Amino acid sequence: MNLLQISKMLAITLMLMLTHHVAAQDAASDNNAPVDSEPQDIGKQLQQLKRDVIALNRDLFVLEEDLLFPSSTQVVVYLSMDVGAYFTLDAVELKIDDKVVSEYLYTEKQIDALFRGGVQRLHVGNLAQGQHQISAFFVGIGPQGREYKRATTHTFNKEEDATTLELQITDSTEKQQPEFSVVEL
Amino acid sequence: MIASIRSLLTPSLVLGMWLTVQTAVAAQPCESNELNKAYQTILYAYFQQDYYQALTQFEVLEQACPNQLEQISNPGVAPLLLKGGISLAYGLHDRAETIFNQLLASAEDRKIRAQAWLLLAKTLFENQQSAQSAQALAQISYADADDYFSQADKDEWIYLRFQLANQDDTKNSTSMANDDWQEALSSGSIYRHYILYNQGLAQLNRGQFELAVATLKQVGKDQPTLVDDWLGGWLSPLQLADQQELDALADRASLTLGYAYLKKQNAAQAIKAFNQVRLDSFDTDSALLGYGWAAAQNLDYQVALSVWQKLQNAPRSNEYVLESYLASAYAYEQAFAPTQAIEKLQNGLRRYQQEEQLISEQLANIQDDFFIDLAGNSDWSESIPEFLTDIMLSKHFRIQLNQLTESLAISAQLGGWQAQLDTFNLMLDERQAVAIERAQKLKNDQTLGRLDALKKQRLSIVNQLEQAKGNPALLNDEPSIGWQQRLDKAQQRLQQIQQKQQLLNQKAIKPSYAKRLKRLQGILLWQANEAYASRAWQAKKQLKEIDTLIAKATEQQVTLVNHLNQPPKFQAQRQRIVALQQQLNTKMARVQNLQATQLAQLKQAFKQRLKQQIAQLQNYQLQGQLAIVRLNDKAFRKAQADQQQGGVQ
Repeated sequence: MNLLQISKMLAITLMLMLTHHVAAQDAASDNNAPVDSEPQDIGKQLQQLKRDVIALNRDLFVLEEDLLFPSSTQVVVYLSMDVGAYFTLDAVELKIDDKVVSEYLYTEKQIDALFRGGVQRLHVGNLAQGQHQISAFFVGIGPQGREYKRATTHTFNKEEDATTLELQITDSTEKQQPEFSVVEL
Repeated sequence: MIASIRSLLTPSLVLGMWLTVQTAVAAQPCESNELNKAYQTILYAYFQQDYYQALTQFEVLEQACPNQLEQISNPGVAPLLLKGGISLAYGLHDRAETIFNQLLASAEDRKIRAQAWLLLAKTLFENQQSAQSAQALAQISYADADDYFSQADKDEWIYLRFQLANQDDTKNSTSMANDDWQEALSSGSIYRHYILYNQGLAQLNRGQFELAVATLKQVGKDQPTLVDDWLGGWLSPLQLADQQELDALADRASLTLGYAYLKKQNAAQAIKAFNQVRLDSFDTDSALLGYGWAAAQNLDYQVALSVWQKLQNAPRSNEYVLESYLASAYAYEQAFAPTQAIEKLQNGLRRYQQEEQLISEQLANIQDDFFIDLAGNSDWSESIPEFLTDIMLSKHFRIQLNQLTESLAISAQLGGWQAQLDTFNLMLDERQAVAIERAQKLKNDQTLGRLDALKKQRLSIVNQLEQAKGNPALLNDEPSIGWQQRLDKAQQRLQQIQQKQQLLNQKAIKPSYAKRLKRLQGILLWQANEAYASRAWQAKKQLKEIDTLIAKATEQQVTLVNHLNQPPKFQAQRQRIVALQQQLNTKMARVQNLQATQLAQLKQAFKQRLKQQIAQLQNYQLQGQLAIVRLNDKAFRKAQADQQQGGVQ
């Protein structure tokens, strides 16, 4: 048996070692990887940093809200969807006092998140105290797969506290149609 | 001025005040709607796999409404379980572990407990704490898994149990726990194939060759049929994403089988197994090398050489490609073609030297920028130099590079926040300047002075009205006042005429003039009396208007005084910005330190791998050179023997 034969046997042994408990998607062998724990230590530090960054992001978010949208003028509009058997949302246009404040196109992922109980914070803005009108225009696919456009309007009174509104898309099994409404929370 | 305000805020004071503000804010209980909407927005982010946003929203919710997670109505998933799950998905394993332990210490609901145990086990598994993970998994009964887990979760639970039992078995060389996992797993689960594969390997390790072959042959066998493909996968539980994984697993199983047969000197079966590996697989090169060895074992050197030649022509460089030169030389030697064997070895030596030169150059020129550029490019693996594929696709390198990518992303984020804080500072500067200007304008508006004037005016009208009761002429309108003035002038002139006439001893003017004037005075008095009622009404109306003006002015004065007395509202906001700026600076310094360490470690590990590769190449070169010497020696001896034989004859 010469060196080449030894090399052959080494290759076989290597292959058996390589394939043991390795997920198939790992492209390359790792038999020569350094056996230190450095990436784990870095991983711990990175985890701590990520936690801190999230906390910092929270504080920045709260500060931003306080600075840009004080509660005396703040108006928040949420969008929720229930069931969604009669309507698949494509886009929403939101107007407050006849001024477009938000135009939103939805991805499949976002629609799925709404179906599963998530609620979107569609708009946050400032309004003077007094009476205002909100209008929402919904575009999507309605019953029988037809293009469907509907609008809903609501008049509300902005007072000292922050105002929270919710655009609700619900299914009416009675009418077999989607229903759109604005609710003050 | 603003700068001086900022400089007054000492860091510790700021932090103390900031914390006070936060505690005060946090102490307020949240309304149910607020709580529910905040939670639903977390779900919205979570369902889109935006874990960072979901965790941030969770933090905001918990800060605004502390200890109120249980009051969320219809949460769907237990909030703490969700938080732990998101933390796990975002890579915060330690935090996830803490949350699940916390949940398990308090939750009584069996479903929540089962799910928490599973997630905790996954966290521990990710942390490579196998024993603890196995313990956590053992807390879940089959009944609970059936009742409370989705099929996907149940499959994962079975897979993890099997995987950990298998690892334990490998270490202890005891019999492997093999439950009735085959029945419990869903038919289309990809985990079935992972388990089969790992089971096959474990059997090989135990020397149960026949059993291992049977097991490994099952890997990837439940692939969708042609009909399934034709129907667009509707009837198959396997998704498209799983298919690639399944194919890769099947390749790996065939490869393992091939080498196992090769080791058993069963070349025909080995060839059959290697043939199953796809040509565009991660395992193609090792399969080609193995195929060649199997053919060589079968004494079919021509096939072996042609396969290895294919490997040598591939635009890649890895240990299989490099080894194929030595293997080809071996085949030529066995086929009694020493000249070609030497030629192949010389080709190999040239290739090894080229590779060594390239790697040495890389080693000499390696810079931090190389890793930073890689980490910033999500498609870096598609443009790897051939001679670095082996190193750069290694799991260790990819983990390190992913970690660098994450810390670079954090750096970029912190940089963005710095810009945001600068904007907030500028915004407050502007707002403060506007507020000062407005206050100045209010002062200049002489609201306070105007109020005094109005009060004087009111007093005058009140007095006038009072006096007019005895003298209605006091309320005369402008024409009447004009007439009265003309009458007064006429009377003065009459008096002057009368005085002059007396001085000049002239005859006195006719008394009819005086009478006429008196009559006119009487008429004016009569008119004043007549108009008194309406003029008094007018005056009272005017008084009311002045009262309204006085009320408005008083209100304005109160507002102004309040405004002027108000403490500077920007101060608290500036304190928060300063506190955040401090935190930001700290994080920035930490991430920079971390990156420096990461780059140093990456460079060190990369260099180490390059050196190992060079050593391997040098080893190949040594083997090649020795083989050349040996072949030349053999040829020389053969020539000598031939010569001697010729001489004898």
